Amino acid sequence: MVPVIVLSDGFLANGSEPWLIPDVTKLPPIEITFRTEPEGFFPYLRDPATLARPWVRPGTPGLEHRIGGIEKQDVTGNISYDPDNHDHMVRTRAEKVRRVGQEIPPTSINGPATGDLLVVGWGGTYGAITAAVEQAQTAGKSVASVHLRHLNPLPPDLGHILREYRKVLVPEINSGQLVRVLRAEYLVDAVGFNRVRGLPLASEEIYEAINQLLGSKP
Amino acid sequence: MTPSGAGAKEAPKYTKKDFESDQDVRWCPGCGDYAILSAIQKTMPDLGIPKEDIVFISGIGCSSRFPYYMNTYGFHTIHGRAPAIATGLRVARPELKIFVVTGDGDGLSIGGNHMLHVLRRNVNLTILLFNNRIYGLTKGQYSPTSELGKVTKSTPVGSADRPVNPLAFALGCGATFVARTVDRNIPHMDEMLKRAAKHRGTGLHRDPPELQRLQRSGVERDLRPGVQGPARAPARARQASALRPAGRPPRA
Repeated sequence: MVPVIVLSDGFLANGSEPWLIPDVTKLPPIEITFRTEPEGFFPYLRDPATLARPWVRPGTPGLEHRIGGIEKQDVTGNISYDPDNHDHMVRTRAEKVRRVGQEIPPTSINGPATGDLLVVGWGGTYGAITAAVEQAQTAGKSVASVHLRHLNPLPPDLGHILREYRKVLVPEINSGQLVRVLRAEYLVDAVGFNRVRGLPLASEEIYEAINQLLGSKP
Repeated sequence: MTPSGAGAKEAPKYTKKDFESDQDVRWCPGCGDYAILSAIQKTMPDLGIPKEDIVFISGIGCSSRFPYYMNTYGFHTIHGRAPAIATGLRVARPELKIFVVTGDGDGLSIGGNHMLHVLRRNVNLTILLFNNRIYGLTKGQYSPTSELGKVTKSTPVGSADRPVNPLAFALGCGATFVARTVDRNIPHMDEMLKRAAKHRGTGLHRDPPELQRLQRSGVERDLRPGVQGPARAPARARQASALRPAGRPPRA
């Protein structure tokens, strides 16, 4: 029960290619349990495991309530101007988002689970990173890559994975957004490779960056 | 589904009290929003709609606190975007009776584009626009309906912009029910609210949107302590406004 924001990039957004539209009837259903029981209901009750609030469909008798941007008292959902409650609610919401991480599957690593260099990417750089990393692996280098699907919360196992490599390279088509998050979040000396030309990254330039960081010749 | 949007369920006999929430109502003393709130709570029992089928959706601003004070379903949403969220609910849940509460800033500036499209799309919503001609929540900056020459925190020598006319705007967008009332004329306001809420169409996309314009006054006085009348531009600014061709900005 959190807003979901899907990030894209210019190449993905503007590019076109044939793509099979999935049969929507075959997609796994998203099951939602709506609350209908008025007894003991408060709009800001929380599921102890996920901290998600109960969902009530408008039209359910006896459960009329209001939600919205003004800070609410925990549990009751009454408007609250209490500073300590606000602090508590800010932390609770952050924790709720953090717990979404419980549902992220283990991060898949392309290459050895420990080694000299890990290349971390996200979004439309997947092809270029994978090609460059596989080229480096073929050349006998101890290089792996992970491609993140979730940026907030980050996968719970990412911190452990990052520490299994001597160096971390983060190619991005921006001035270095993920690399800053990784450095701040995990205190690892991740290095960015950034180009903002309105073009996709090429595997050759990532391959070159890998070699540069490893201090080796291609 | 009935054309007004509410389901066919029989509503219990309600009183005004059934629609009052337990939240403290917070607007500036003397604000016309109190009268509007009271009038709407009083009107609700007459609609004959079960209160669980009524939803108030608002944006941001003084007027947008409104849903908290109604004992119905309510959603205080994003600045200017109440029409978009209300449209989503309308499409997903055609059996509900949905009100949008907005103000002159939220509805005509930040959400001006949303207002245009919700009106032209003829979505079956009742839109209540509380026009106090100023941004009250942020302590008094000029709004899209502020009068020419109006002195506010953000227009110290008087507003150089001509105000938008919400009624003309709504008609221009194809709204099919447009009414205007004032907070000080309670019987008229009650009647307009009832007619706005009961305005009917024949199907989801053909159901008309409604714009009920509730104009209130006296807020300028409340926001500017010591000023005894409606805010007026200094003589110099008024003169400059009068001499300037309409719509032209003042020279620097």
